[in-house]
This record gives sequence, structure tokens and C-alpha cells, in this order.
Amino acid sequence: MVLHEHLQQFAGKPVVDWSEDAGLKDAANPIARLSLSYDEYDTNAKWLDLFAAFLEEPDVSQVTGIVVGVWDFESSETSQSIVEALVSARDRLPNLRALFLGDILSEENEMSWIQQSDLSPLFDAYSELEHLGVRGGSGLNLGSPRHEKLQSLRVETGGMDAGIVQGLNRAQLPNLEHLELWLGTSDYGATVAIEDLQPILGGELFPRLRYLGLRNCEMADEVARAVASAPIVERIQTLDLSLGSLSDEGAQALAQSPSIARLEKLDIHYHYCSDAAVEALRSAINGELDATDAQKPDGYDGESYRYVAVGE
Amino acid sequence: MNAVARFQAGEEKVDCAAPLAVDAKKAHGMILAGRALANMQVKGHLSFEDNFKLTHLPDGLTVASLDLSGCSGIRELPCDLRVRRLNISGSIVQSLPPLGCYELEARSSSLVTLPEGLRVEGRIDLSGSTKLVALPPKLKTGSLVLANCVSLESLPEELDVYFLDVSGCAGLHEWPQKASIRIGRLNASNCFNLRELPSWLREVSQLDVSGCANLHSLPDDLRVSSWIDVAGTRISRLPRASQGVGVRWRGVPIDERIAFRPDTISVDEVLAETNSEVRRVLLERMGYEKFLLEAEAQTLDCDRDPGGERRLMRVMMQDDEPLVCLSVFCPSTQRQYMLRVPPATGTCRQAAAWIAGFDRTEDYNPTLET
Repeated sequence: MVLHEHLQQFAGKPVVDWSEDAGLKDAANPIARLSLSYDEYDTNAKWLDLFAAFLEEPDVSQVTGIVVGVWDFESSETSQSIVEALVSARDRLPNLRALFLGDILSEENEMSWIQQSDLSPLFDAYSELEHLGVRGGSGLNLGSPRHEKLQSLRVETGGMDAGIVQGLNRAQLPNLEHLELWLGTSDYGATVAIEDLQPILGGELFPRLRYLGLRNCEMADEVARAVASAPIVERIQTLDLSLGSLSDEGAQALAQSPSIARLEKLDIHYHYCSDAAVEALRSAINGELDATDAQKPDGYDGESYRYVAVGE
Repeated sequence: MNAVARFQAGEEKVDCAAPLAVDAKKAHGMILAGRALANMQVKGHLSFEDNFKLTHLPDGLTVASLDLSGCSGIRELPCDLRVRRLNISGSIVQSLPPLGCYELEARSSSLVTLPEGLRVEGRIDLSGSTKLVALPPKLKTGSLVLANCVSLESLPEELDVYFLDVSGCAGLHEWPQKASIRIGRLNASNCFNLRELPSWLREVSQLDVSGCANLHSLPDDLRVSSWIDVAGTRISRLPRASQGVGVRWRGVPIDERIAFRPDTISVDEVLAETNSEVRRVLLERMGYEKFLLEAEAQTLDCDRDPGGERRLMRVMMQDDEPLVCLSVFCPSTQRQYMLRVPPATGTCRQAAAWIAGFDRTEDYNPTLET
């Protein structure tokens, strides 16, 4: 399913695993993935050892992107030491434009077990950063970032704390074009309410937004209803409500939205809508509709359950 | 047989000018047996954790990481040791050579200082090194952890870090004239001899000054971008340059009003708060006495002691244990105290016993309650 493959691409560039033996070839181009293997962990290596060796590469100053993979096998270590190491290396990585923190597969560590931390120093440390992605909502704090150049922010969680969105509501990201939030389920810590999303949906907060993703969401229908009548739909090109529990109720709200027709793309892949509802949506929009990966609700004890794509 | 062959045959220590790469497991055995070569390059990570037999390391040892934590037999390290990460936590190593590495872990170490010329690029962790009294000037690293280094009275001139943790450094009472903590974090929690923050501190992401009981204010031009923890300080407002920053109380996210204007906290607000951590902060800020009064607490029991009337009061809390407090008057200080006791406490006598440290009320038979 969704988190069974490491990132192949990030920020428009291929991602390539880095190891000390393989070395850094063509430093500026592919994005280096630094991930601790189980064997390395078993011989007492730490992620910081990998990073220290990486920093010794002669061309490291040309590196434009880093993907941080596994750093812990016991779900006990937060990303705090990773964040500190990245901040401390800012003079060594003057060309860093893209950073993904937590490219970890479900098999390696379920998303809700990934222990994140306060990432806010990263925004101040890397003023040229354009793309930031993070996976794992436990312990995550982004603060209220002020950053001139950030174009894309992606936060993947199985349950997003309202504090993350509330912090973003006070952020100053004038060049943000892509905002992607995986809201998750309350079972895994989601406390975001529709009212928390209003500043984003109002359209003024991130004036250059072209893509809004409110994904992997257990309240996808309510989100769809709120978005359908929100000013943001008149500003963005792509609306992404995929991976969540969207059903006919939400699809209808979208189809009835006066502004939905102008979207270049509406992505609802992995959804619980009927064929009829999907067709109604297809007729309602001029742009592209991705309604693949239709799901059937689980019937159990007379109740019907719709699960998000990445629940744990 | 040449030197290489003799070495490979595991025979006597060979003093060899050309370095040979040795597998970590093999190197481990050779070092312990005293058969290690000078300038030995080791592939992998060497761990001598809790080893009491190790007394000596070969000169010029090169290895990715060296773990000497808990070693009780080795006091000095070779001067040309080459490692990325060195761990001497809990060992008896008393001094370090001026080596260069990425990370130095020296928690609960026996170090008194660090050598000038030591270059640690990423991180130095000296927490709990209670004998540490000084650090060299111009010390530069990414993250410096000095938590509970209780003998440390000052930080070095021209210190240059991104993250500094001096929590629990009770001896710290002043700052260097010139130094730099940039971008990251200053954790000065429980440094109660600190009366002010340094003027050269301009911008950090996180600031923890909780427990700095003698800190009255923060400089107005200090810009903190993520959060400031002000619990237990005398700070009455945020710096002008940090308006809108998150406020915390011993790690619990609250807001400016709760931190600085606790008189505005109402009983209804406390009772309506669903987050139990925030509710405890609200209670603490409001004060138990005011809360119990305004919440029309139930009186569970009432008796007398030399101070006068004692009253055991309770307010039921949603999704949390009941708040039960003993109200007592102290004749010597002439003050009323509201002391929280365990939720199951039923009588004033039980409460008084618990406060005095007795788990079993029947053991509490004071001759005199003062």
C-alpha cells in the first residue's frame, strides 16, 4: 500500500541511497538518502555516525537535498538529535534546498511509532530551503515558521495534533505553493477540527498556494464540505483529498461546489465513493479527476467502517 | 615470515609503519590482549562498554566509533586517536587529548575540563559531569549539553554553539561577555543563580528558563521563534521581539494569559479544560485556595489543630482524579495553606499524616503539631 516503498523522488529529483563505501557521486543532483540499516544498528552504529561520514565527503557542500531514513529501531529515540545535527551542519550544506525527515516504511517502523520532535530550528537554519517533508506526527512541533523561500511543505501523520495546524495558521510562508497535511485518525492522535483549517481554507494565509492536500483523513466528508464552499478552491489548481474516508456525502458536496469546475486536478484516489458519485464529480469538473483505488467499507457487527490509508 | 604474515598469524605485537585495516571484533581481542598494532585502522565500531580489563589503547588507533563507557581501568587516551564518535560516559578517563571528532559523549564523566584544541564538530554531552569546573575559550560545537554540571560556575568566552543545555547548573551565575548561541535552543532550566540572560543572545528557536527563580525579565530584543518556558520564574511578560511565540509551563503548552495574568483564570475554565496537563497548570496558576472557594468545594472533614480549624475539601474533576486539599492555618507564619493530598484521603488526620510523610495514618501520632 502506501508506505511500503522508499521515496524514489523528492523535490523533482531522484533519491539515491548513500553509503560510505559507495560515496557521493554528482553531489548536486540526486538527493542522498541517509538511513541506518539494521546490520549497522546491530554493530553499534548510530545515524549520527552516518551523517558524520557523509559530511566528510569532499563535495558535500554541493548537496542540494537530503532524505533522512531510519534512525532508530526501538521507537525510543526522537528526531531531536537529527534536527540538531542538521542545524549544526548548516555551514557545511549551503546548497541544501530539500529535506525529508522520516522516509521510514511501515515494515521498518509504523508511522505513528516514529518519534519526531521540534523541527522549528530547521526553518531558521536553512534560509534557502524550498521543500520540507516530514513523516510521523508523534511529538512533532513545527512552530509558526517564518520563511521567505519555502515552496512546499508536506506533513504525513496517522493522527495530526491540532497544535500543528494552529501553529501553521500563524506562519509566514509567502512563497508556499504546495501544502500537504495528512490529518489521520483520532485513534492515532488526530485532534484537528474543521475550524482549525479555516485560516488555510480562507485563502489569504498562503497567497501563492497552488496545491492543497488534506489527505489520509478520517473526517474526509466534513473536510470536503468545508472546502467545497471555501475561497481557497478559487485560488488553487489542485485539490487532494486522497487516502481518506471520503464517501458519497463528501463527493456530493464537492460536485455541488460552484468553484470546483475550475480546478486543474481533483485527486480523491483511495476513497469510499460509489461509481455514481464519482461520475457526478467527473461531470462537475473540467480538469482531471483521479478516483482510482476505490475502497469498500468493512462491515462488522452491522456497522460500516471506512479506514484511512495509513492508519497506524 | 614477513611482518604482515606474522600479524595475520596472530603472533606477537608488530610495530608496523603501514596501517592495516582490521575487523572490529578481531581488533577488540587484540587490544585487550595487548597485541594491538600502533596506527591500527579498525573497520566498524569498537565497544569496550563496562570493561574493567582495558588499561591501554594503541597509539594512532583509527576507528569509526569507540565506546569506553563504564570502563574502570583506563585513565588516558592516546594523543593521536582518530574517531568520529567517542564515548567515555561513566568511565574514569580524567583527561582527553586535543582530538578531533564529530561527537563526544562524556555523561557522568570524571573530566574536570576539556583540552584547548579539542575539535568536536557535532555534539558534546557532558551531562552529570559533576567535577567539571571549566571549559576552554572559543569552544565551538553544534550542540553542547552540560546538564547538571553542578561545579561549573561560568561558560567560556567566545563559546559558539547552536544548542546549549545548562539545565541544573546551579553554580552558573554569569554569562561570558562575548559568545554565541544561535538558531537552536537555550535550556537554562533550574539555573537558579542566573539573574539575567546575556545581551548577545538574539535569536533562538526555543528557550527554557523554567525554575530560574531569580530571573525577572527577558531582553526585549530577544527573538524566540517557537516557545519559551517560563514556569517558576519572575518574568511578567514576553519580550517585544517575541510577541506571539508559544508559551510553556514546565513543558505544557499554555498561553500568555495563563502564564502572566493568572488572576483571569476562572473556575469554569479549569473545570472545562479537557487536557489534564493544562488543567493542572491552570490549577497551579489560579491557586488551590481560590479554586476551591470558587468551585464551592465539598467539605469532607473538619477538625482542629493548634493552628485552628482544619478542613479537608474536595472538588470532583472530569476525566481526572478529584482535587482534595487540606486547609490549615500556621500560627508561626500566620498564613493559610491549601495543601494537595491524595484523592482517596477521607479525613483531616489522614491528610496531615500524609503531608508529614507517613504512609499509614496510624503511625502518625504527633506529640505536638506545630
